[in-house]
Amino acid sequence: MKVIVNEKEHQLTEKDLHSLFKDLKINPEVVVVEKNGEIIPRKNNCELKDGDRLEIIKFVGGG
Amino acid sequence: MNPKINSPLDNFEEIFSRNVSGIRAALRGKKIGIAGCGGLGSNLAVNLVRMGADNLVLVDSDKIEPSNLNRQYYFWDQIGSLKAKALEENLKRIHPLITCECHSVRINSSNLQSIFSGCEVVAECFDGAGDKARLVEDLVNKGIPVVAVSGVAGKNSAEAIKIKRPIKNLILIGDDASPDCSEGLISPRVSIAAAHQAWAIMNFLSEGEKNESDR
Repeated sequence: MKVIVNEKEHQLTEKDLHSLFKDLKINPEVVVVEKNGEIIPRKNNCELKDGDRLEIIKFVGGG
Repeated sequence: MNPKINSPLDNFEEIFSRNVSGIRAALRGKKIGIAGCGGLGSNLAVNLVRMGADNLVLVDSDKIEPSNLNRQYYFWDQIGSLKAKALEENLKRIHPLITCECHSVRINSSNLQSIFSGCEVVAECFDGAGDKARLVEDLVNKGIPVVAVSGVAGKNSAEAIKIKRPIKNLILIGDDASPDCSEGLISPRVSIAAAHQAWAIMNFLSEGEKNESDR
């Protein structure tokens, strides 16, 4: 199953958001996630389907 | 402390006599939220006021410390003062007739909506990555347009700091290569990001004006 993450195709083994975070070594505390145009609260895990389009915005500190 | 106002009211508009035409009008009266009055927020607010913004909501629970003065728009004699109040004071030295609503509190998901109620746009000006993500998620979720910053630490070329629109209601400023703030922050990069934020807010509000008049 494939999803699109920040415009790149990504093969999934487990079909949920938190596994994707693990795959991509993403700390859920510092990202904002949009799935198919809707914001997904990153604390809530959610199911992913083939062809889902995700935008994962990662924040770094400094200001 | 309010700066002395000793000239007739109309003279204050002279501040904007060298502005690009239409900018003061696009910003005048528009309520703009500034979440965090540190390196980004203080420099952003100064840029906004100089362009003609006159209705700001300033939020920060911190007091000014010596280590802030390498990049934040404060002065040595303001150390120990609450940032939101000190920023209001500094902004009113530029344009005494602006309105600032100061909140010396920490923003969370429950007070966010009341603090920024009526704001056309909110600038995310926090320091910590987790705080940034939390605020942006909350604001975008509530349909409030946000101009946020990620990627200003370190000493890479400031030319790498760009403006992007990754998702609806979010304008994001920064570079993709910047380290975390543990590597330190320098004034030019933080100021440039804050100036980009000011420009993006001006552009957003001017476009709104344009769309209004097109209707």
